[in-house]
Formats: sequence, structure tokens, C-alpha cells
Amino acid sequence: MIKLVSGDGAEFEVEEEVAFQSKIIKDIVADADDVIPLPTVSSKVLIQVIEYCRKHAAVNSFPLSPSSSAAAAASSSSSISYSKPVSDPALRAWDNEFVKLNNSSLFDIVIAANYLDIEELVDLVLETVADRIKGKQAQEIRRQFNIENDFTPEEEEALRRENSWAFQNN
Amino acid sequence: MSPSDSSGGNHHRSDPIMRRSSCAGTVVPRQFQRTMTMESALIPGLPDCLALECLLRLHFHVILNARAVCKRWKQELDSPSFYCVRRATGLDHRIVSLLLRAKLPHPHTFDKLHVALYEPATGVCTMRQLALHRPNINMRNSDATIVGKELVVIGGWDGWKNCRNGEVHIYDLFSGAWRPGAPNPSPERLFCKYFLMGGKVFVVGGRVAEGKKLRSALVYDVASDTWLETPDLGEDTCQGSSFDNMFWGSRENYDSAIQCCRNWLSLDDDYDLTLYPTKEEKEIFMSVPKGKKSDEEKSVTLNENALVTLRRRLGILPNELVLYLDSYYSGRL
Repeated sequence: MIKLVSGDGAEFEVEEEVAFQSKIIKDIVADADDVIPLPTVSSKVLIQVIEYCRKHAAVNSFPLSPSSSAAAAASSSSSISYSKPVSDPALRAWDNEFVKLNNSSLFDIVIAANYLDIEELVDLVLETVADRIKGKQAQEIRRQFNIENDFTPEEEEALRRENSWAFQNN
Repeated sequence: MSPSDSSGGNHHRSDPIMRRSSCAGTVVPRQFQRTMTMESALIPGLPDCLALECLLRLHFHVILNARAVCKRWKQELDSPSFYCVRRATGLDHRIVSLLLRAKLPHPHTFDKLHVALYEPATGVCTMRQLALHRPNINMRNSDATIVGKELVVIGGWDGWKNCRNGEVHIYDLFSGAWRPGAPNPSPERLFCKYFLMGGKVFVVGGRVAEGKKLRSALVYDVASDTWLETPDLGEDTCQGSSFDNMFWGSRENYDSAIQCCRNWLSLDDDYDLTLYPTKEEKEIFMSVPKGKKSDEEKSVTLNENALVTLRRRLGILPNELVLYLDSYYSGRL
């Protein structure tokens, strides 16, 4: 068991295979002790991240064969190892439920997941945020993400002209 | 003083992978420092390295709207490096471009060239009149490829001289602005095969007017706006020949490009597009003939919505598509 300590001092005991969804924790445990302070992660976020890791550890629990771990090592060193789609439909459905959160909660999770280097979770959240940009006009996107419109009316008019594409959305 | 100041500050506008991994490696949440020191965050509450990755995932038609959100979004989405990174990280999407002449008997659109961009993943078809800001260019019988965020149109038909011309016109798919490219040095080649590799457009083989078959390729590098002709692509001739390191970047690039050209050269001359209706003529399947490389990547099924767009905007019925189609290209953006 590995003990994770959140920024607000709460302690969480998790199994190795759950914690090792985070590459950072895996590296730390390899050359340090089993109590890992995570000062920047609040317990609220850590609970959510652990929930995600627990689910994914259970699904991914089969032991890595030598060939697949070699392939994983090769892909991580090449730096182009993005967006491996989650193939299990049940897990994908679970993921879809998991990300039904407001933006600021999602942002907290992705910042923690990025810090802990849990690539699948980072990809999942970023894909979700990108999805929330889809199908919206600029004004709606600004409202959704609290972004200030810093264009002058002339610039906006020019952009509208540039965007004179005909749409046929589904 | 946190260690992130030295590594964090200068990561702006660098490779997001680098930025992302550097984010992951530090203990201090530097994203908060960055948002304070810079003009404003791309997405408030999210470090820029992660926000940028959201933008990298957007589909073409979403980027059209996203450019109008704020100046920083526009700056990112208009920068050519954004599309290089998108490509390198595999976050780009398949897109099919069709150059079409309008059939509608309307003076402003009749016979005018339009570009339709179809996204197989989303099924969205966007369309714009191409000749609008540049009425004089003649792009009949031209070939178009998408490089980065631009449509590179090579060649056309000179109606006065009644021959193929070598003009190159480059169209920014977002701003709608045209810029001229260096002309094709050998426009008289007919029946060439076109393909795209590493930001370069390859014009392979073809024949001159007397019917003599050519065995070399013309290569256009869009970034440097330069053309180069390869030596004869025969099996032995390229091996020892000198190559332009500035143009190709490395010997490996050159060798793989030559190999690819040879493969294309060995294909049949008729590089025609096949179209046939599917699903009770509600959709159209388009493909290049069998035996070509990566057939799967080159074929597409236009959905009902796309066909409705073509009919409403251009007056083209599905069974007339082949008559009004000037160029078909399947690529990534």
C-alpha cells in the first residue's frame, strides 16, 4: 500500500497498481519511501483522481507482457504517444460519466493529472474540454470559459467576413 | 524563488509536448505564476500548456468559430507552427477538399470555383467561393493539396493560349486570403500524379506534348516557396547523385521521398476518381482506383448533409458531381 497525502493534510491509502497509474508516483516509489506528499493537490481532487485510477487499474490489471511493455517504453520515448483511445466500451461509458463536471472541477483534475503524469486522464479531460468548444459560436465559447472579448467592433466585423463559410451541420 | 521561473517563463510558444512534460515534472503549480505574468490565459483556470492542447484537438469547422473568441486564441490558431505541432502530435484530423464549379445560373456564382471541405469524422461540410477575392485566376484542371492551414493550388488552364499553365496560388483556409507561390517550372507536363509528403507537393512523372513519358518528379516546398526537379527516378540513377541538403533537410528525407516517387511512378496513368452513390443515392462514395497506395485514406463517403450543401449552394445534384469537380484531395488538417 502507498500513502498519498493531499495538500490539506488528508491521507489516502491506495494499492500500488492504482497509484502507479501515475508515472510520477511510480518513479518516486522506486527510490523513496511509501508516503508521498502531494502539496498542490487538494483532497477533493485527489479523491476524484484516485477514483479514476482505481477504475482504470482494475480494467488494466492484466500483467504486461514483455513485448507490450517494450512497446510502451518505445512509444513514451518517441514523444508521439497521444490519445490512445480507450477500447473497452464499458470503461469508455464510465469515463463519459466521470467527466460530467463543471469546467473548474475538470480543470482542477487535469492540472492534478498532469502533475501526477496520468496521461490517459489528461487526454480524457482535454478531449472533453475540446468537445465543449465544439458547435458553439464565439460568444457562447467566451461565456462558457469566462474569456474576455478583446476584439474591436471593426476586427469582429472583419472576422465575420472571413468566416463566411456555409455550414451544413448535423 | 521557485525553480519553475527559469524553465517556465521561456516555454511560451514552444512545443506543447515540451511544455506539458515540464508542467508535469515540477512540484510548484507554475500555471498560477504564468497567468499573472502574461497578458491573459488562453482559458482562465487552465495552464496555457494544457489549454493549447485543447485547441490542438479542434476540428477544422470548430477552429473557424474559435478564431473569433479573443486575440490570443486567434494568434494561436493562425500561427503556422500550431498546425505543424498538430500534425507532429497526431492531433490533426482527416479532411477532404473538393474544388467545384457552381452550376447555379446566378451571375455571382455561376461557373465560379468553390472549395468544399468535408470532415469524415464529424460529417460537417463547409464551403466557400474561392474566386471571390481573386477573380482573375484560372484554376481549371488544377490540383489542390492542403499543407498546414493552406490550400496549395498548382497549375490551371490558360484559356488564351489553350494550354496548361504553371501558376501556383496559395489560399489561407481561415482568412480567405490568397498569396502567389513560385510557378511550376515545367507546366507542360500532363497526366502527372500529385502527392504530399512532409510539407512538400510532389508532381511525379507525366508526359510532355509529344507523348514521351517522363521519369522525374518536380517537388514544391511550400515553406521555402521553392521548386526542385529530381533526377531520373530509375533504379540506379538516384543513388550516387548529389542532393540539396537545404531543400530536403536530411539524406533520409531525400531517400524516402525518392522511394515514394518511384512507387507513384509505377502506378497506372489513369488516376481517375471513382464515384458511385450508396444508401439509395443519399450518399456518395468517392475513391481513387484500387492498387493505389493507402486506398482507405484516399476514399470518402460524402454524407447526405454534404450533398444537400452542394445542391443548395452550387446547384449540383449528386449524379452531376463528377462534371463540376475540378479537384479532389484527401489529406489531414
